[in-house]
Amino acid sequence: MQALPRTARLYIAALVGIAVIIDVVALLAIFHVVPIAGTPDTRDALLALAILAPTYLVATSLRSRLSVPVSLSVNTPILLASYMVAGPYVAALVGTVDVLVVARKRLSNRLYNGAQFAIVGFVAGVAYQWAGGLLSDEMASRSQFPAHILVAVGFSDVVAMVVNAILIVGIMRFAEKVSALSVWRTVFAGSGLPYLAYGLLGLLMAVLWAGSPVAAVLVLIPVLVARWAYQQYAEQLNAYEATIRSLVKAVETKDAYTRGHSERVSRASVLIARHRGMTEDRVALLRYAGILHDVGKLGVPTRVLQKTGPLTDREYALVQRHPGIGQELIREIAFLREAYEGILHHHERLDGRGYPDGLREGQIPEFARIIAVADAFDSMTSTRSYRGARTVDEALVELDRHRGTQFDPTMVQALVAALEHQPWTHTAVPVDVDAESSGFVLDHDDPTVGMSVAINQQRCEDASAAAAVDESRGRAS
Amino acid sequence: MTAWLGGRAFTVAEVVVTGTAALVVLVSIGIQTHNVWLDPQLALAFGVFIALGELARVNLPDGGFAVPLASAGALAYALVGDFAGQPTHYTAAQVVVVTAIAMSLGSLPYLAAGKPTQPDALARRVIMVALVAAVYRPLYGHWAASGHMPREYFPPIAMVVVVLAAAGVDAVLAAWTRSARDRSPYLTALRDEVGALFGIGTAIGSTGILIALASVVMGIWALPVFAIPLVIAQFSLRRFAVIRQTHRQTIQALSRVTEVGGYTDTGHSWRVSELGKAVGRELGLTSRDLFDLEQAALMHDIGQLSLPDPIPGGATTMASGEEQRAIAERGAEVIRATGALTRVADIVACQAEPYRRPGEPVDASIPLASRIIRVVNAYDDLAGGSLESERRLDALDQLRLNMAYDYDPTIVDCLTRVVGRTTFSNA
Repeated sequence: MQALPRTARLYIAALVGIAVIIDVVALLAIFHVVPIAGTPDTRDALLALAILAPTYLVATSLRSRLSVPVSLSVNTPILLASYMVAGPYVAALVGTVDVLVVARKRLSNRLYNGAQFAIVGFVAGVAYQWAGGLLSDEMASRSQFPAHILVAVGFSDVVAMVVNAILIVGIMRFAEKVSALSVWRTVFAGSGLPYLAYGLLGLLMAVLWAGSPVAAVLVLIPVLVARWAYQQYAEQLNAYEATIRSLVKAVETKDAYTRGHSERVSRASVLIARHRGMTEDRVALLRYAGILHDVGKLGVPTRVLQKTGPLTDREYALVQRHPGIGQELIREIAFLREAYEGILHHHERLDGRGYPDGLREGQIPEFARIIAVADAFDSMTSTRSYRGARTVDEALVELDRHRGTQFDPTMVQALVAALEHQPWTHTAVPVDVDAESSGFVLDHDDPTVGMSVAINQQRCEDASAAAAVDESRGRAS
Repeated sequence: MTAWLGGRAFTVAEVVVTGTAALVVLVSIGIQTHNVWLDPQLALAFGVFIALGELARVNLPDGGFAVPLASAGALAYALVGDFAGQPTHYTAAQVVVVTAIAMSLGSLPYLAAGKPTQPDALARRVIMVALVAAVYRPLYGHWAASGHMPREYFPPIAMVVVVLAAAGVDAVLAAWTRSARDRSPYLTALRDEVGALFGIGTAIGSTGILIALASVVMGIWALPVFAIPLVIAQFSLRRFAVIRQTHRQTIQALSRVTEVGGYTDTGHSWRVSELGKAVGRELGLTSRDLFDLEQAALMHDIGQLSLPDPIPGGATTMASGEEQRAIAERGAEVIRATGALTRVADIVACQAEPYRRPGEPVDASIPLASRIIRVVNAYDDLAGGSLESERRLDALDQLRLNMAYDYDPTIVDCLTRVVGRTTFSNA
């Protein structure tokens, strides 16, 4: 990382200056050097500091070790609890402890964070007192739970959130030159609900504190475990997606020209689906279906896939078996239910001349109709052994020519409309179109070639049956 | 060492643990019939909470299930002192009876539906709660009767100590039943169980303690309020188990690509992973290592996809050492590209290495999992899924001929034992 710009360093220096002043005043107040109204007993304040500051440090350090970004902090509830337990001065000192987080390498980061949390803790604490909030000792001494505390908790909670956001917007603006508006959006998006939880958690700690400080610290353990469980889940999900992706890449190594094809088909399918307003959980399934749509090609001999020159009927029949093999492979993955049909039928045509089942129009599942369009689109805009890539516009014209017969017009329209908002970036590695690859080739995905065999259903089935017999013979031996 | 009951084999460990729990419950019922029910509303509230918690079980990736809410509720019931400002009077025996009834009621629907119930796990939960109650209730009773409540920090610390001790006993018993069932070394099982305590176990224990402590002031509201983080954790845990299961199914499914591609024999990867897991368990791999071994075994042939033409019969054992190494390296590359399965990739990369070279000591850098896969893969190449004992013995004999360098003798011995009692009915 580069050194921070001057303005950012000045900004941090200013915050640190403010925080130091607050901390000095806090120490004076706690030790009653200067009389300030509303400060607790020195002994109580020091006890609170002795328990909350280390707890805060541990909780923050745990956060820094997360490998998955989880937008749930455990240090904020402790900061909020600090002023409910022992007032704003203790909260400022607890927040300052953030300087000591060793996981943050850069001194400027640590200084900034320490200052940030000292200021947030102090200002929110003052707000809490101003709104009539009570310290935990006072709460315990009332015979009934003072409900008006909830107002003070809510108010100080909002103040903490806003002050925190302002400070973050400042540093991002100066250090990373991000526009203030986009920072505001990211800082506030989704921070309302967590802050509500932080406030309540802080209050719980404060309520328990009067009975026993140990109990107050225990409150954090279930929360930490809940976060840990979520993290486990998120990591496993990441591992899962990465695994599918790389295994599919392994499939693609069999055929250099289709490298990245599955990934792009998946992307184009998602574009179409989103444009049609599909629900997010179905979009997620469709994404998997798109990635896996050609996985059945593994069952097609490499020799056939890499052949340049015309395929015989038998070879073409072998290629045609790939949707079935793919569906067969993933059938055991329980959660991909809807994806099966998408994979099995992605080479069906509206006019019923596709394979493997010759379905027509509405009989073809929605996933399959989407993948069919995305598949053909990517096939045409990619370089193949026998031709260079077509432009996006040419490909769209070609899709349009085949709509109604081969493709679902609504899906084609959705793709056209989606591409108006989002330009298509082709991420494939460039492939040399070499000399040996001249001549006639069947591309099973490209709508402009390869009709000749598909039309002749009978011939095709014969060949396919022959291949099946061959295979079972091969297995038996 | 197994006893046969109702057609299913129970290990001695399971019988002892379940029997002990049954005895504890019976004695408690005996005591309770001579006493009156004390604090009945509390018993009802906690009973309902525990039963509901038992009902809301969460399946774990390794096939078992956990009931965090029921366990936390039962612990809390054992640890409750003053409740909403009033002292409580119920005994440890009452805690055991209420817990046992509530947990049994909560598992009834599963029993009726024919789902697994894991009686030994239920028994361990009862034993743990009984231990905590037997220590803490008399202690609290003493404080309450003498009128001398200890200093504020003492009860929580006492609770933490009691719960930790009970959790330790639970881990010891769990490791015992598990090592007996899986035929794995006791210490490995114990390490797994103690490791599991640090996850959801800490949340269960601390939630139980918190409910008990907070109920002094909050009364019954402490139950729902402090259950919230545990409910959230349980929710994540459930999703974790689902995605882990999906991961397993996906790798299993995709491992068959080498089969449909004609590169390997049907069912080969699956058999290598099942046999490999059985061997690994017996040789003391932890559950994490076993999961890695399973995945590596399923994908061990993925490197063959780079071959233009399949090896006849898919048997890599017949290929030259150089070829085997190239396939292993290629497969490891594919797996490493996931960025998430580095350990699995390392295992696959080393599967073609002999465990020792002429004139050199045993190569310790080769992971145990790789050595296991090498042996089991060779065995399956030779014997296939065959059930004929003659063919199996032949295969094992051939492995033994190559024990000097290729195949680790301890693994071959272990495989011989495993094969001796394994049948692949659903291969």
